[in-house]
Amino acid sequence: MTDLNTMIEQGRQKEIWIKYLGFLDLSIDEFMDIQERLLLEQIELLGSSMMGRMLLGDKIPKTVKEFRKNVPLTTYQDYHELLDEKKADVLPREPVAWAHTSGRSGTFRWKWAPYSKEMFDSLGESVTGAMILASCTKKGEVLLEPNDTVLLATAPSPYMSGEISKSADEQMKLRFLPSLKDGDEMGFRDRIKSGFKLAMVEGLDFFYGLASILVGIGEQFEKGSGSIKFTAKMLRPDVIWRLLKGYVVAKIKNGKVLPKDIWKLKGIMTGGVDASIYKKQIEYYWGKKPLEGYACTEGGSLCMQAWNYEGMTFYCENAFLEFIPHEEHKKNKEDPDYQPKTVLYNELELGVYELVFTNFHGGIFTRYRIGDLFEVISLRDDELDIDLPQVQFYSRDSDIINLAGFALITEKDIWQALEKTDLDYYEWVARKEIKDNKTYLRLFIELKSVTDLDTKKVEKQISAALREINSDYDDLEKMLGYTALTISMLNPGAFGMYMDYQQSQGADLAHTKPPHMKPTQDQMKNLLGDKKVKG
Amino acid sequence: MVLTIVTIIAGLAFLLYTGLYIVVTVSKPQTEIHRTFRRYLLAMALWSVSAFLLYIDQTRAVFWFRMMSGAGLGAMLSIYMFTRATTKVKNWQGIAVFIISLIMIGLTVFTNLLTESVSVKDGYIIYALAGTTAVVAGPGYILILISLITLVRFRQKSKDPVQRNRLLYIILGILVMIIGSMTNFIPVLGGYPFDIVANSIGALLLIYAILRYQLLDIRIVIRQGLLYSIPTVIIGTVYFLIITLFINIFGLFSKAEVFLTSLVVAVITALLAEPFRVQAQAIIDRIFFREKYDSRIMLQKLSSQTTSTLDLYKITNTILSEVATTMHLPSAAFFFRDEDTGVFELTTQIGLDDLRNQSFRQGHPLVLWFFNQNHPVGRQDMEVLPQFQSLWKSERQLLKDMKAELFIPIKVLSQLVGIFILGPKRSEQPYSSEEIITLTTVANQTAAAIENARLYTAEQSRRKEIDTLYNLSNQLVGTEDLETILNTVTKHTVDSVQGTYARILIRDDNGDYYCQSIYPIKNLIDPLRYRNVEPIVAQYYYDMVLDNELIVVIDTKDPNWHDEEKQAIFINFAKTLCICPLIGTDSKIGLLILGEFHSRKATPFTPSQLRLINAIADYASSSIQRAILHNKLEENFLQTVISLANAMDARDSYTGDHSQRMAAMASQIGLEMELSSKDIETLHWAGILHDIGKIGVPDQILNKKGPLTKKEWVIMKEHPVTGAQIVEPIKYLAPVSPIIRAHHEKFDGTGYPYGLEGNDIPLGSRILAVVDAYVAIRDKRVYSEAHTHEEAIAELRRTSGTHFDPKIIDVFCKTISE
Repeated sequence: MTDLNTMIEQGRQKEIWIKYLGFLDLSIDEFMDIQERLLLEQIELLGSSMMGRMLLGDKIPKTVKEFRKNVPLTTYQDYHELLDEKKADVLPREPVAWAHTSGRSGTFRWKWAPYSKEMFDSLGESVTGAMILASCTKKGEVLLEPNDTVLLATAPSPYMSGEISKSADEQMKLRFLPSLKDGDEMGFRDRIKSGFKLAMVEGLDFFYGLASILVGIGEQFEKGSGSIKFTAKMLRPDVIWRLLKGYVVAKIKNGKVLPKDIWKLKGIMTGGVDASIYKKQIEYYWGKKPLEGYACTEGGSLCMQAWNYEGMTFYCENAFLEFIPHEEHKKNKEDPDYQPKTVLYNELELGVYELVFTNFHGGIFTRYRIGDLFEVISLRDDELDIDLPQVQFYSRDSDIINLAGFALITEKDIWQALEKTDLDYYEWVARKEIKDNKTYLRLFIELKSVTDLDTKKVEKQISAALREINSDYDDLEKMLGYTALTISMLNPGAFGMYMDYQQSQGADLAHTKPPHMKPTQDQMKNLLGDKKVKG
Repeated sequence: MVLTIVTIIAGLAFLLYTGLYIVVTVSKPQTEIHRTFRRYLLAMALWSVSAFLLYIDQTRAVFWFRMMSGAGLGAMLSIYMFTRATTKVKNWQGIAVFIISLIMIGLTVFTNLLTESVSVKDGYIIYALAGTTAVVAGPGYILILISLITLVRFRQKSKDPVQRNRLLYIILGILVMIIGSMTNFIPVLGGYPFDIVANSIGALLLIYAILRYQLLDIRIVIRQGLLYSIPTVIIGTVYFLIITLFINIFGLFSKAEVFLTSLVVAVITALLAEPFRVQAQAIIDRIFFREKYDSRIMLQKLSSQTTSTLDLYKITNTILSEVATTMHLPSAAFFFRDEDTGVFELTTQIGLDDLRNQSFRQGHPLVLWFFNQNHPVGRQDMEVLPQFQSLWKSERQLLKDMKAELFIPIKVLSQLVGIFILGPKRSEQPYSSEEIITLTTVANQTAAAIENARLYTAEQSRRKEIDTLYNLSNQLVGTEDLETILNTVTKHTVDSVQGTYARILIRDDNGDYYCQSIYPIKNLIDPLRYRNVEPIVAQYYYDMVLDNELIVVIDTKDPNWHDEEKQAIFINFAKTLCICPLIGTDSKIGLLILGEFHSRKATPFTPSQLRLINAIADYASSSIQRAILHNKLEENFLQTVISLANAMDARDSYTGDHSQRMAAMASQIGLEMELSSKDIETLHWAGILHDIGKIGVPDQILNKKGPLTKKEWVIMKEHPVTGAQIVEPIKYLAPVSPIIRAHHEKFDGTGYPYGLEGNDIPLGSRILAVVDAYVAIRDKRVYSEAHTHEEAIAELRRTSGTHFDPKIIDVFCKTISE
């Protein structure tokens, strides 16, 4: 087939759009037809492999109905013995890559996922689609060009993000900053540092990575600490022109040079909870809103926002999608033996659901519970005329703090609440604590600078913001009659020391920082260090 | 103003480049490639006009020559930028080259660093290049060479035929331009306008590429009309010239003369021009619209050919053949929907011999797409449209193997009945919109004929199925003989499905498969292992098919089968095997295997054929089961009868082996009389069972020492009839029954039970009578002592002709010794 570069060269924008984003124009029935057909192929593939047969049970299902009725829901526990040993001969298709998770979820150090060639390709196709969406302003607009520069602020292979980069590189000729080969040999911080350094010379078209990094860089520019260091390589007319232009623009605005003054980014792609939190800040610093997507090691890219940066739409061809309604999910939490019922994408209603997916294209994860919850925010996008349910990431199941049995507090809730206050915080973690038979949400916050704060006042501010964001929490406080939030200020540098300590212990990338939600006792011990905590 | 051939060419080149510039400017979309190419055209237009003015305005020859040179460098720079845009090279060198080139162009136009002096004399340009020419013009040539090499490499790398083709014309254009401009550095050639001619050729090449191949995606809607007007213009010109000629030669001045002459010339021109115009348009069609020209003829042919037949294969083969020839296609195929299954089966193909048994299932994305769409879909569309994301890997592979480029729905009354698949053109060009329209027209025009033929074929096929099954059932109902049933089934299967051979394997109680019947259309009985046990390798597979009750089709090219396995299942005697299980009501009997070697169709076993094979197998199964059951019953009955006979022997006063000795002697006589093996076997059984009827004779009569009373004799004389009645229902023993019944008849007609005489008595009975008498004389009985062999022979000879058949007595006496 004609490759993407050639299609761009030939100006076949319409075809490119349809190829990568045509799914946005599908009707829900067409979407489901594709899902069903690819599932039947997957069942056939599973049936022809040892591990697949193990998952499918005695009788290989012939229909989607049979599949959903007879094949049990799975977790990584059902796979780890064979996948940890990377046994390729038991899989439905020969894997071309093995990726592993960050291992944050605890039980397993890493979760390994094999990618068949088709799955690997779909990673790149999805990210290409995301790049088009992140850079366009209207339907059908394709601003991608071969040799576009991409700064990678993600982990290298064998993390899934590394495989995505490799696959995207195969889809079209991109210039990664630094190159994928060089980047693989660098640490995370060095890679980002080197990427931005190269971007000064080469320019920057796309950013793909964590939103917090973009905000961090933006803040450095604003403070002037990110000032440009000239090197010999920058003595090029185009670079000088770009920098000069940025400087003049900043001067006209009477402000500091911001990243958006020297780079005209085509698109920013991020994932995770912080994407929506930092949306405005990123737009302020970088001149573009970040496009949010959801991908996971076991399932690849699964959904993506469109060019209005609102709800995410699921891809139809990457995995068979099922959703456990929140009530069913809760029932299963209370009684682990209870098999929750699932609904399909065309059966979604507004509300929260746990995602269950089955890999297509010879992957192995079957009716897999990744442990992430999504909220269906609308059944279609009227603005963009997308006739498919729109979702947003709700929370990791394990990250939800359940107060008094009914107020579920997510990472996003707390983050949004913090953002609503004037608090100049650096980092935070949240835990549920019980004191004097009372349930509290306890926040540990490190500020950016040492400030003498009235913690009670801050507590009230955050609590008020949280009540506004989460109606259940509001009900809880009203019912209990006390502020169910306590805050503790961490000593300056607490997170820095934690990260230094973790790095010195050879911790994996995902473990250098404590999780925002429900850190373990050990993690808290390391974070608190000498236990000097205010509040 | 001096109009010479050179100035006309230069002027023409200017017009062409200006025209091209306008066309490229107004065309959409406007990409960087379009913008850079536009600059090139602008530079070339400037160059052409400078060349034109060089000859016209000779007083300012130096300026126009320098403008030409500057425009030439500009064109080179534009080509370089165009190459960068085409190959998507993004680096800082572009800006540097751009700045340096602009400086060089400035130096060329406004200084004498390139040209010192220029003059035009008698249409010949006399010029002197400066010593710094190489420095000023050299970079331009380096750029154009780099561009040329880059474009050639880029073209080589490109897998897209459209791009490759378009780049070819651009490369050729550049090459012509380089060659033309290089002549300026050869003093002998420099004075002649080779460069002007070369650049004009370059412009014509680009025009051709735009008209023919939509270079840069430029589509000129009016091009066809313009081209068609060429003959009209020529005719008009000819008419004008003739009138002028007449007026001048014959000095016609009056209005009437001129009017009359014009009228005559107009009529003559009109008469002569019409064939010329048609011819000229055909030539234009051939040059610019070759496919369209041929397609028109093809459509006419197909229209007449497809309406005159109801043979689906003939119609579809005609269409495929015509389309492939006209469009220069190596492959094409038709898939038609099977009415019963809804599956779209490969029915006819050319150039796709390797593809057999291929089909599109009901939910296939292509089928789903055509349910809702009437327009053709291309391979590239399928790679792009999300609806085709649901293609399975195997389905993608099939489409790849088909090398299909274009899929056209065949619809009758809005119902999708088939899919017309076209391979890539030999020219590697994509299908033009005109060709797609033509092919869609072919599909639409022939759809009704195809559908009629398809329905007719389906109807014929159904009728044949019913006839076959009716005949088969008739034949099977009339027999309970297993062998007959098996042979009938294999023959019917081969005849009705036009296979190469059919075999029936029966699985025995040990699980081994034996080939019990073969019907080959050529000498394959020995190789197909008739009545032999099947190889172990094959038996595993047969078990799988039979136990899972599958009907399977195996292709000889199936890579999953090793040579050893292929040999074991005898696929090497066919191209395709169909294995169908024979399932009884409560047992799995065996397999019906059909081998197919010669097939004119793409699918050797169509769904309707498989359905028929399945139906035959069902009929066969019940008949085979019935026959097997019957055989078992007979066998049981036979065992019972043998037991009775043995019991009879024990009851009678004969020696225990009386019946066995009778059987042996009777067989010996039969052998001597050269009877058939079957008759000898019958004699043998008759010997064993001849007295079985005595089961109804009470012991006191049977073993009575004294003579029997009259009443007792009546009872005793019933035993031949009773015996015959006992064995008669056993099919296997049916021929024995009359022998038993008549074994007490006498040659002279004085015997019992019916008093038959001479040859009316069955031969077997006559033989048995002799043997029975001999044994009776030789044995000691309750009523008489045993006699010697000689005495017995003497007694037999004595009664020969009265009691016994003399011929048999002769044979007996000769054969039986003591």
